[in-house]
Amino acid sequence: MSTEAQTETANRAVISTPSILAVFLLLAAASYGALIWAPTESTMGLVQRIFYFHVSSAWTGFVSFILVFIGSVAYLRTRALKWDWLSVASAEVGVAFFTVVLVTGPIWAKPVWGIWWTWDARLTSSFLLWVLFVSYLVLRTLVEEPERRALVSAVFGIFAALDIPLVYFSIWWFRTQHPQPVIGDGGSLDARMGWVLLLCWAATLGVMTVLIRLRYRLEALRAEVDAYRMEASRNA
Amino acid sequence: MTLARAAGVILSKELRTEFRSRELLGTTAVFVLIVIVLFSFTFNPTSSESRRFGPGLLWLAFLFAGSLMLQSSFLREQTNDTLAALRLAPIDPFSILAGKITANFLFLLLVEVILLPVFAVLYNVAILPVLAQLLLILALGTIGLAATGTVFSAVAAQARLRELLLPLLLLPVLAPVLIASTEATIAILRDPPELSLVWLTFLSCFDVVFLTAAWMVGEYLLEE
Amino acid sequence: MAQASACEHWVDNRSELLQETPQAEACATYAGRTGMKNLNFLAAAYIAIWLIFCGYVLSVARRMANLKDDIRRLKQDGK
Repeated sequence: MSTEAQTETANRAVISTPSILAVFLLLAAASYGALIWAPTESTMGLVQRIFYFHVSSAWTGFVSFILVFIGSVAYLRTRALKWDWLSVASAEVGVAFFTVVLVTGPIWAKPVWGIWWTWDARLTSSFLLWVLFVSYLVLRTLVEEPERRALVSAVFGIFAALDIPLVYFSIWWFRTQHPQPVIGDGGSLDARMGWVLLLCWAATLGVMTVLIRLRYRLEALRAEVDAYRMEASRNA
Repeated sequence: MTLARAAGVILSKELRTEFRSRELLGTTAVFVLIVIVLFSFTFNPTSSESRRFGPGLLWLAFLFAGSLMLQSSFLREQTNDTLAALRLAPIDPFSILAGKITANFLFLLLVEVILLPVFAVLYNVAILPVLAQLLLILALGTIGLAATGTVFSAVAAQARLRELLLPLLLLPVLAPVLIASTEATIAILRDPPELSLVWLTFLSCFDVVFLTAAWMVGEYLLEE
Repeated sequence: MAQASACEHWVDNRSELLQETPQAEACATYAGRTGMKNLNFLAAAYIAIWLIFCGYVLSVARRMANLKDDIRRLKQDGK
């Protein structure tokens, strides 16, 4: 497929206005739920409301990294660059979500526990996953040629994604042996809180989809520029 | 030529190249020794403290040494472009990877086995009663290190800044190995010693997952 | 209030709640709910979330604009 045709297809994957609107509404509803509708938790008070987006972001980041795995495998089997575009888009968006987790975690911990950080299971795993996929992005900046970059990123992406469950289990089991105060726990969860959590997760998944599509489009455009550059150097 | 046969040939080639000069093994061993000595300045190395912190530091030393030593696995091929020649041979591309993984595993295990008694003496840790179990833990951890490290060295060989890139890629992925190996080693050095089945099973899973992954991506990685 | 004064100590020394003594447990509710600074932290968290996502969108938008400039320039040079 010529680069122009590829970009055309990418542009059709554009974020349509109705879908952006839908995500905004979902986000508004989720925020209302988290900030107002959900009952105030008894031991932690107002600060506990951070929990809804903190946990949803972690789950959504996890979903993004699954997409990196899918894109990487698909690239290796089909060699269609569009799968590489999906991988990098998902990786960047996943890193953004885990940044949210790593920033909201301490902001929550400080008023509740008086300390900024504990090496509890969720935060530690999030940190490691964040580092892992930042490494993925660093690898990409160090390889110039698009097809080679796609190949090596796919290999590393697959290994990194396979590592995720191993990371979670080892850190979780390690923490069971050496307990630490748990940040990111909702405290006592009642029914309304459960619903709000699900709503927040749906909202963050919507945001993830929009952001990935945006970033995908950027990558398609970048491929177009590369193609023009190659043509220019050929004609020169 | 069958996969095993071809991998065996590659393995013997790697071993022969290394034993001719022995520079890689020697340098890596000295590096681990330096790290072990430096670690002694970071805490008070009494017997009980050593049993708590020692294993973790030892495994960190192995991981760092590994991520530096594994570089040369594909770098050596690049200087003489021997990889292209290997690829032309009528063998399964994975056999090249398998041969290198096995060679790296043996090198790293050798370095670890040499440094283990040194560590035991310097930090007053009794390893003889649990030597067999310790070797098992070393072996399982090193398989994971060698498998992922060899694949990533092939990846890094195609990028810039490869000396910095390999540790950058390898260390986060090996975090579960660090956790599991350290915990298993601490458990076995405890009084009374305890063979941690959970962590050993976990290490085996890690090894199986990544050896399989290496097998599946091997042909793509070494092509072109 | 008896409970308030007994728990005042914990409000300012929340890290001691980690010790899980019975006194700490009794005061956890009081220590947790007190303080407008809780609201500040809540606001800080939500603002941080917005900043991170807006920052990311802006970064993508900026890169996109740069690429579109590059395309325009390359098309012109090609002509």
